[in-house]
Amino acid sequence: MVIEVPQTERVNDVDVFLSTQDGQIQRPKGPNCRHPVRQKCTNCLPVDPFDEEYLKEKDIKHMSFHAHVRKLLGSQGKGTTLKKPLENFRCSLKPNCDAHKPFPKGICTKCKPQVVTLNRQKFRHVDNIQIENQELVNQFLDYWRLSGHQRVGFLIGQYQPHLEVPLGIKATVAAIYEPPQHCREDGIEFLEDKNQKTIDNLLEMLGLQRVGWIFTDCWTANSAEGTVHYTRHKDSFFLSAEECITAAMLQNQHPNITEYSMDRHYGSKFVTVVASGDESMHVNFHGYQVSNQCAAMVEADILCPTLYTPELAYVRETPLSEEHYITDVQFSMKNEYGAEVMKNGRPLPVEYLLVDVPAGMPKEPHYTFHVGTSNKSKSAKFNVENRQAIGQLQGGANLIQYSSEFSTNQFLEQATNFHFLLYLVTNDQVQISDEWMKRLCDAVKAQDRGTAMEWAQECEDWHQLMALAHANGGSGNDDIPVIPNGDPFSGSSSGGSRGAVWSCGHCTFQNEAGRQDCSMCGLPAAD
Amino acid sequence: MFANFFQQQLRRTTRHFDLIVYGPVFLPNATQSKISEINYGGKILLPSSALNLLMQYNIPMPMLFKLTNMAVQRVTHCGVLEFSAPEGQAILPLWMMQQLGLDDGDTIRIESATLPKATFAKLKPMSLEFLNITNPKAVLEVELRKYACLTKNDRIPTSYAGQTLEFLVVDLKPANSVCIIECDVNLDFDPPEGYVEQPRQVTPAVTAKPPAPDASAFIGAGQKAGGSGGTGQNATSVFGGAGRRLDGKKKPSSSVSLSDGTGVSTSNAAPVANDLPAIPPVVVNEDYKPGRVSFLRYDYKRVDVLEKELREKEASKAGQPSNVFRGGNRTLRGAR
Repeated sequence: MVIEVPQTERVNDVDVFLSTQDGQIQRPKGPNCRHPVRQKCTNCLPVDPFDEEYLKEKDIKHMSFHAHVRKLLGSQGKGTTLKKPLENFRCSLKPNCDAHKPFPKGICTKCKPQVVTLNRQKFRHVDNIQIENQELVNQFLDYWRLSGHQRVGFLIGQYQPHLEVPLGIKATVAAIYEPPQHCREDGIEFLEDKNQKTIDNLLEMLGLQRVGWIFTDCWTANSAEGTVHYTRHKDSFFLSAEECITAAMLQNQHPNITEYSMDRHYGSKFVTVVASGDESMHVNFHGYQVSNQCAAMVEADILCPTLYTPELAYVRETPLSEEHYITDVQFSMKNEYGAEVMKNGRPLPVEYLLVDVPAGMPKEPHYTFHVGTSNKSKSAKFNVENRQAIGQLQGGANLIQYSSEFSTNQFLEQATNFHFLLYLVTNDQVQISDEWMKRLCDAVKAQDRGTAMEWAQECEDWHQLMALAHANGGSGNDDIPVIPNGDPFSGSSSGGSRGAVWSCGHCTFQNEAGRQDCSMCGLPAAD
Repeated sequence: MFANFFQQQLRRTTRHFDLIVYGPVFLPNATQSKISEINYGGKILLPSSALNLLMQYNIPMPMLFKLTNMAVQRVTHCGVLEFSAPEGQAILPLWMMQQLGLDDGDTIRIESATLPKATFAKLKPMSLEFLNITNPKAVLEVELRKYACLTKNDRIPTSYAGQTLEFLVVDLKPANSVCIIECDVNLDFDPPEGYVEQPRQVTPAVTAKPPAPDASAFIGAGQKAGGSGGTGQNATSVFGGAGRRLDGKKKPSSSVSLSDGTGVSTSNAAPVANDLPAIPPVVVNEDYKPGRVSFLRYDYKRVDVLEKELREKEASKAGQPSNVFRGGNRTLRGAR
C-alpha cells in the first residue's frame, strides 16, 4: 500500500511544472537583424526570465519566484552543491547550540540572528490572483451587505502557471470558505476552527487548497448608492500593521514547499486579499503578500502593531520571556534632505514588508463550483457555513429546498457546490465517511454525471441525512424558534384567552368575552 | 312618559331628538372601569327607548350620530356604546362635553348621521409623552378602536400605561368628519405640542469622512503624546504620576516620532495647527495576538504625510513677513 504524502508536504504541481521549463523569453527578429529567419543574433537571442530590462519594459515590478531561483542558480554555474540556493530568513535564536549554555546564560555569533536590514523583496511567490467569477465574491460580500459587519474568509483554489510573467504563478480562487469568526462593524477576529482538519482533508480530495485569505474593510459612505469610503490609498496605508502580522502568521502556517532550499520550504504562496473601497468608491479587490522578512519576524514574535498608526509597526521592546531574544531591525529611508539614512525599526513602516499582487477576475468567468446565482433557473442557494449570526443556517429546510431544485440525474450539479460538499462532511447529524466523500469528489472533479448519480443512489449516509432533514426540517426552520406574529395588536387581543372570545353577529369582529356589545360596530351581542 | 316625549319629538323632526347630557359619573351604578371606558372613547350612552326608535327608522349601520350644542353651535360626531342610559339622558365622555361647551344638565341635539370612510387622518399629539411610546402604531390601533368616527378639531384622549395622551385631529380626508370603522387610513402626525426639532445628525455624505480625532483622544488611552502642548498637559495633570502595570512589565514606550529630527517640531506643532488633525502618537500594542484585525473609521492620514503638511504650513507661515516691526523707516537727520 502506498501512503501518499499529504498535500501540505508535497512540492506543488505548478512548481514541478515550472522547474522543467527553461523560461527563456523568445524574441522575434527585430529591425536591426541582418540575418536569415532561422538564425539568431544578439538583438534577437532569447533572454533570461529575470532580465531586468525586459521586466521593466513589461512593467513587471517583481520577478516571479522561479525567475528569482534561476537568477541565483544561473550566476553560480551548474555545480551540484549549488542546487539549493535559497536560505530561509531567521530572526530567532538557533536552538540547541552546543558550544555554550542556552540563551539567557550564553550566546554566540552562530546562534544569534543577524541584524535585520529590511529590503523590499525583489520577487514574489505569486504573481497574480484570479477570482474565477463575480458571484463567488458577491456571495461573500452579501454578509457585509446584509449585516453591515466585516467578514473574513479563506480563498480556496489552486496555483497555476501565469503566462504573462516569465515563469509566473497565479492563484485561482474557486470558492471562499468562511471560518468561525467574530465579526464587528469595524473589525474581524478568527475563532478556533474545529473543522480545520476535516476541511483540509476535503480540499485535498478535491485537488484544491487554501491559497489565501480575504477580508472586507467596507465603510459605507452612502447606503442608497451602495458606495464605500476610499480609505486605503497612498496617503494612509494599504495594509495595516495588524493585517500584516496576521497575514504573516497565516503565511507561516502555509509554507511553500520547494526543493531549492535546504529546509525544504521557503516563503509562502499564501496571499492576502482586501475588499475595500477604491477611488470611485466601489468595492474593489487588492492582493498582497508580506515579505519573507516580515514572516520571519512574526515567527520570532518580535513584531507588534501600534495603536493609532496603522501604517507603522514596532519591534518589540520587552522580551516575552527570558529565552526570548529580540534582534535589531533597521531599514534605510531617504530623510527630508534626500540622503539615505539607516533607521531603527522602532517604529517601522509596514510598506517595507509588503509585496503587492494584482488581483482580478478573468474576462471569461470560470466556474469550478456552481454558485447560487450562476444558474438563473435555480432560485435556492445552499447557505454558506458559519452564518448563523444573520440567520442563514445550513441543513434542514435549506437542504431540502436546495435538493428539491435538482432532479436525480442532476445530482452532479447539486454536488458541484463547495458549501454543499462542506456541509456533507461538517454537519453534526450524519457525517459522510471519507471513502464515500472521495468517490463524490472524484465525480465532481471529473464532472462525471453517471458516477455522481450512482453515488446518490448508493450512499446510505446521504439517504439518512436527507431523511433526517425531512423529519425535523420539513415544516420549517427547525433551528430557529418560531417567533410569534410580530404584530402586538393581534397578539394582545387574541393571545392567551382565545376561548373567551365571541364573534359579532353583525360584523364578525372577535370581541373579548367581557363586553356586551361589539367594540367594532357598536351593536349588542346577538344571542 | 319619556317614551311619549321621544315619540313626539321624533315625529315632529324627522331624525333628531334632544336629550339632557351628563358626564359618565352620573351613570347609575357606574364603575371606575366603565367611566374610563366612556371617557377614553368616542362613543356615548343613549337610553334604550332610542334604540327602539332607531330601529323603526332603519338606520344604516354602523350607527353614527351628529351632536350639536344648539346654544353655541358646536358640532361633533360619535358612535354609540350602549343603550343603557336613563331615559331622557345621554351620557357623554368628558372630552366631548368640553368640546361642545356643555355642562351637566344641558340639552343637546342628536341626529343620526352617515359619514364617509376615512382615507387619511392627521393627528397632533398634545404632549411630548407620545414620543416615548415604543410602538405607537400598536397603541393607536388599540386605542382608536374605541372611536367610531373622528371630527376635525376634536381633542381626543387615549389612555396609555395609566396616563392620558391627547391628540388633536388636525386634518381628515375625504370630509371634515369621517367614520374610522373597518377602513384603511393613512395616518400622519404633526410634531407634538412643545416639540423643538433637534438638529438632526446628518449621516456623512458621500465624500465626507469623519475627521481624525484630536490629540486628546489619543491621550485618553493612558498614553500622553510626548510634551504635547498646554491643553494636553492640563488634561492629564489631574492624574499625575506614572502608570504601573500589575504584571510588572514596563509601560508601553512613550511616543517616538518617525523622523527623530522633526520630533520636537511635531509634538509642539500639534496645538499650533488647528485645522490639521493631531499627529497620533506611536504607541506599541505589545499584547497583540495575530488573528484579530480592526479597521479605522475616520479619515486617516499617515504620520509622515501629516508631518510633511505641518512642515509646509510652518514654512509658509515663516515666509510671511512678520508684522511686529511694521511701519516705515526714518532717519534722525531728516531728509537731505
